[in-house]
Amino acid sequence: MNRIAATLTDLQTDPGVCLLSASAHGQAFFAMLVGDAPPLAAGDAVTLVFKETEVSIARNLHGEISLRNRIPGVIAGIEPGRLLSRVAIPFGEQTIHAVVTTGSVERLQLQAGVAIEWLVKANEMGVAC
Amino acid sequence: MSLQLQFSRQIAGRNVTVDCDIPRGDCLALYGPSGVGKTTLLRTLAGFDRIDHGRIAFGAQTWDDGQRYTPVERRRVGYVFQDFALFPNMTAARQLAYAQPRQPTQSVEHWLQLTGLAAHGQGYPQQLSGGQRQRLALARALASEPDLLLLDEPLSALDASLREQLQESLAGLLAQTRLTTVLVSHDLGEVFRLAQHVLKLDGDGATQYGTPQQVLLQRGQYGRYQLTGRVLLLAPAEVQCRVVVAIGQETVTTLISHTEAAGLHVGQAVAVSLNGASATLTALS
Repeated sequence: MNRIAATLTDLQTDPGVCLLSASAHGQAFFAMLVGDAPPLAAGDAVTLVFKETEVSIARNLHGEISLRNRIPGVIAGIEPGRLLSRVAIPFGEQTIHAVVTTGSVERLQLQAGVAIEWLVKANEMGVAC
Repeated sequence: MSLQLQFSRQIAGRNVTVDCDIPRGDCLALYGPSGVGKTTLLRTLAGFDRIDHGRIAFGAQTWDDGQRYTPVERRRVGYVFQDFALFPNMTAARQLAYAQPRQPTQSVEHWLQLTGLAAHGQGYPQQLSGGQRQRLALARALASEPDLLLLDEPLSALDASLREQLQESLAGLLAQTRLTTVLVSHDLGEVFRLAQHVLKLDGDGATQYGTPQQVLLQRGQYGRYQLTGRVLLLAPAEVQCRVVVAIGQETVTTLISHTEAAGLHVGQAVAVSLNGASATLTALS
């Protein structure tokens, strides 16, 4: 599980759904939450939580994309498997992990030192306090 | 005429405290794993066991407050046992007649009809199917015209498809009779289907009371719901570890990192987080 310490910057609510914006290491993050709005306000400390399997990796991504969490990074290492591979990407003082198919690692020619963007859909981003 | 439960008592060396008011016509589920004292609490409500402190009352009638005690035969409770406890030497109709009060307001035929047993009035328990025996046990409890219906895992002896089918008819019966009911269950689906309130019992004697949604779908992380389960299988795979968790009667399989898996063991209780927006639903019928 990936965890990022962040600061809440905005909270928009609608009955049953809310969109939370947060900032960490100068990057903007978004989380779409189902249910009642949490009792949080801008400036509150939150932890963004997302599974390794919910992280996508893009290389040379151009144009617009609906995914709200789109963070640049450089691959630090890859733990390869036959079907799945685990990609390590430094973020601040910590490391984000992405589990993607080994076929995608080969197709994108991913390896240590390659600049990529890692992406997470807002509805896959959990928030803990 | 609410059911007022404000008491504590020792169960298997643990002090269990109960504090809830159940409005008339509502159903309270006692939910938790085996051995935490659900059936003991049900027996306490019936009057088979005493409380240590506090009070049990139904409407204005005190059932137990340490000094005043209403014995079981004067509490007007209908009890459905896990194994149904039917009389093998009585027909279905006879069992109902035996359970009826001296001046019944409803006929035996009414209860047979209500529980779908109209064609089986002359059948003996051993001639009935499992589902029919369950309905007979329920009909017998209803025929006693109780103020309070106590159901001790009434569907646990049945297979899954029959259990689901009878959950529907039981929900209909409870709505129709407007009987205040206390249900013992370790089946999450049954609790959500039948109960408006739940008292969750944990192995350490702790209790949680509220609606099924408040108690059983806790949001440990905002936007995610948490269910409590138990690890059945940890299977290391490449890169990630496959974990199978039992939640009630169902299982969930997921992938987690080896680091996270290293902190788990088979049989361990875990919280399973469900991302509300990502859950997919498929109609089964």
